[in-house]
Amino acid sequence: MVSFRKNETTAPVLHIGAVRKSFKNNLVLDNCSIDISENEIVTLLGPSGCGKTTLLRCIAGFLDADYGYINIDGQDMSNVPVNKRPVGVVFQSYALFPHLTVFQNILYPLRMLGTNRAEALNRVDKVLQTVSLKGFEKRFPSQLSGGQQQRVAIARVLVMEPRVLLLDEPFNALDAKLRSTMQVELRQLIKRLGRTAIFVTHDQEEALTMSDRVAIMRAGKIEQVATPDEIYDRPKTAYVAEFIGASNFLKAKVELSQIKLPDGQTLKTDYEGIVQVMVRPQNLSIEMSKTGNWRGTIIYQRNIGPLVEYHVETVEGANLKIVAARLESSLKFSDGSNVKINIINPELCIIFAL
Amino acid sequence: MKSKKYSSFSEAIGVYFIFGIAFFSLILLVAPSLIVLIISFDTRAYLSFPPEGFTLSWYAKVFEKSELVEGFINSMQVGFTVTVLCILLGVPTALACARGRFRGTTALSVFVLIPHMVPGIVLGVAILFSGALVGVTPSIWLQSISITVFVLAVMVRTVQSRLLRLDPALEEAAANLRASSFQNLRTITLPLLMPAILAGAVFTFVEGFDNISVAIFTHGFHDRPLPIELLALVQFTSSPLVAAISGIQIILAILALIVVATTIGLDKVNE
Amino acid sequence: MTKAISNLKTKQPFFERLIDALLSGRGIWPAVPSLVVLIFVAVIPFIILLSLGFSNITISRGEIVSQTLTFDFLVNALTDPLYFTTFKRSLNLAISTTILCLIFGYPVAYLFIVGGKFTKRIILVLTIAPLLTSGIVRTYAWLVILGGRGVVNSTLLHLGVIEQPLRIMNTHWAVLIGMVQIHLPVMILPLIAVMSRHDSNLIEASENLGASRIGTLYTVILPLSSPGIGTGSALVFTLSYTTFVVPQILGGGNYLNAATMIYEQVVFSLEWSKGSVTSLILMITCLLVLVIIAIVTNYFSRWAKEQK
Repeated sequence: MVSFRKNETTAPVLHIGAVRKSFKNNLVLDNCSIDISENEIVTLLGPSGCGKTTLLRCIAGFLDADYGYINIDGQDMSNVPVNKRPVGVVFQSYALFPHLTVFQNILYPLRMLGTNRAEALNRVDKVLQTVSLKGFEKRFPSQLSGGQQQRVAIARVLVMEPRVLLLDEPFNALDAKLRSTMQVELRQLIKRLGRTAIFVTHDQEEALTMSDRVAIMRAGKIEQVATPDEIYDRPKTAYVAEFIGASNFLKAKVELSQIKLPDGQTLKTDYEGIVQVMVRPQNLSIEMSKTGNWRGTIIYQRNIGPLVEYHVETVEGANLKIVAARLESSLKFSDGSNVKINIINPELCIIFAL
Repeated sequence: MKSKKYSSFSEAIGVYFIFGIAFFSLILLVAPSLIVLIISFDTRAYLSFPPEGFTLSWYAKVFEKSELVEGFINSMQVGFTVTVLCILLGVPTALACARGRFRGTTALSVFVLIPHMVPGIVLGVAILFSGALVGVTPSIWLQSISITVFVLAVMVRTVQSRLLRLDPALEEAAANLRASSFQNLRTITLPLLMPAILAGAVFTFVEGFDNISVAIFTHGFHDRPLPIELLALVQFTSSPLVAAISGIQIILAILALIVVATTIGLDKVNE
Repeated sequence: MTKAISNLKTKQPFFERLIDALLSGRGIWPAVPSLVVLIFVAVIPFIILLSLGFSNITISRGEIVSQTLTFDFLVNALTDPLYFTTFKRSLNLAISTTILCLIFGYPVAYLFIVGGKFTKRIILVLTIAPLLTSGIVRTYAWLVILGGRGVVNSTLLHLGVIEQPLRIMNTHWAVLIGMVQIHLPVMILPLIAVMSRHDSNLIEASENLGASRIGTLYTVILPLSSPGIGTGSALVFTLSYTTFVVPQILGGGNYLNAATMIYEQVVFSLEWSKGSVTSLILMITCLLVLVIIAIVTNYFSRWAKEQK
């Protein structure tokens, strides 16, 4: 399940190889491998229970893997305790120390390291500037808003200049509106500072917004690692296709290296037997008609901004999701209309083995 | 109280009856102390009610009686010793019970609880006998250590339950932020445990000061604690001096309560 | 642009690193001192107590010369009618105290959970304050109140209800009244602790579903508070069964209960083996009752869970 780009000629910052971890006979991480390069933002994306947080905790050192290795800058981390690993963790709950002020929270790692007072003050000051929290030094975490707390948590790890930032679902605690702004801001901040970061999330939109590359995880395995575009346009498995962006799945039979699509068009393929064909909603179109190869009825339609989303039930009983631009022509559709369905560009369909 | 409509008249009576008992009990809790307080200012030399006159002479006489003053000092010493020992022994034990990754964690917390479950007098007697066998005679130190053993469980339990409710992410974050285990303990865990330690300390101090069941067998003849002195005083005389001492204790208790209420909040004391 | 952490070596003194090694082992080490103390000051003495109760010791010139196993003391104790009455009295006192404390204490806890912030605070103050004063002080108060010229008698005489002062002091009733009042906080606090932990939403939900206040009390609150009842009862029972001060003071010199008997045997008549046996009987009977309370509480808790 290894999939990584070898574009950079420099060695990766973080190298994870064949990591395996079980909890009481439960295999939580199954042979995970991934390389992360300098200045890269990678997101581990998957549903709850897929192992993404476990992997993050192994990198941080809170857990020890049963098998495999984790290297940072080429150095093996297996014997390195948590407090000596060059990583900085931002927790989902931010874990700000409630009995310390914002300033003391950020100063904490420097205090633990014994950095001299003048330099420490300087660094804390700089980092406060970076996250735009100057003036908040004397406040306590309980007096801060969610967004401010997150910034303190980030400042706290930035001040010790770790090689890799690890962020565990950092936007979960924020409300939806704040979330999208913070996501963009955080990505810009990380890029501006030139940091390497790994995010963990179950929210695909977040993953697509923030990352240079996304690693989709499922049941302890990494299914695919690629840029957001690649994941969307060329998903490796049906699971990935389904996870990122909406998709419709059709079953088809391969005859003579060709698949006959429901609307009559054909698609060449090397696969054999019965396969799954994935079509994106925007790759389907409908027309008012009582004839045609592929017919169905509109069950439900709704407008989303510049688009219209149709839920169509085909004659064969399949449920399709179709998305089209909201133009005058779409006004004539209504619930119950009989329509003819077409695939706009068969080449963009993706075929998976069943 | 929320105002709610009662579904029937009898139900209203029922509820008011319960409230009535509650009020009665509350008054019952406080009335005796108030009465004693009032009597302590009585001019007469015998116990009676209603009081006549007003005087502070009994209070003055209390301070004149050397054995009472010494008893007070002894009890204070026992109280402090017990509290210090309980903190030194109990906090690490609570840490081991709550954070430890060895198999006997629950067994350990139960084991610590055992001396507290045994009736105090049985513990006192046992220690007295064993002490006699090895040549350790009752003294203020024997008293202190026996009460420590008796109340250690309270300190352990208070600290342990707070520890278990502490967000583990805080200590993980500290570790990630370059703290060694000891630094972690010192800068994060212990400060956050302070309220629990203080709550436990209040109880252990009071127990060390006031305990009779264990102390009665282990106290030293020359270092008698205040409760023992009081016991003798109450049993063999009916002097209003005891009323004055009670008055002092009641006022001290109220002061302590105010201190506790303002520092850590009353609800935290109720484990 | 980025630099690796420059100062990973922590500047810790040797002492701290040593403590670190001890503490980070996540082992049992921190608890060892208290374990040692407990074993030497509690476990071993207890074993010695056991052995004293069952051995016939001959002492010559201040040293133990021989020690033989004997059940004589135990047998004597169990067949002695004095023992029987004394323990029966103790048990009686303890059980009545527990039940009365429950009857008087439960409404206070109920008031606490339905009351507002002010009510809650007052209840806590009134309940915790007595615990900070010495038991003797609280007992003495009753001496004043119930005595021949005490509050009760003076008031009743004043009002003309009686002609001669009632003799309440030095009776079983005096002891009982004193015990109940003194141990009331011990019953109330665990009740409050358990009952306030439960979601107040449950109570609101039950009332929204149309249950009357009494109905809510019976079906929701009572079952849920059973652990608190169990804890409170256990504590009050243990304290009242083994208390020494209250019977001594309020019951006069003639009121003998288990605890005063032990005191007499150990301190006055120096019959240590006898004292040891009495203590053991006290402890075992106490544990028996506690076990019964635990079983009953358990039964009610399970019933409560089904009711949910």
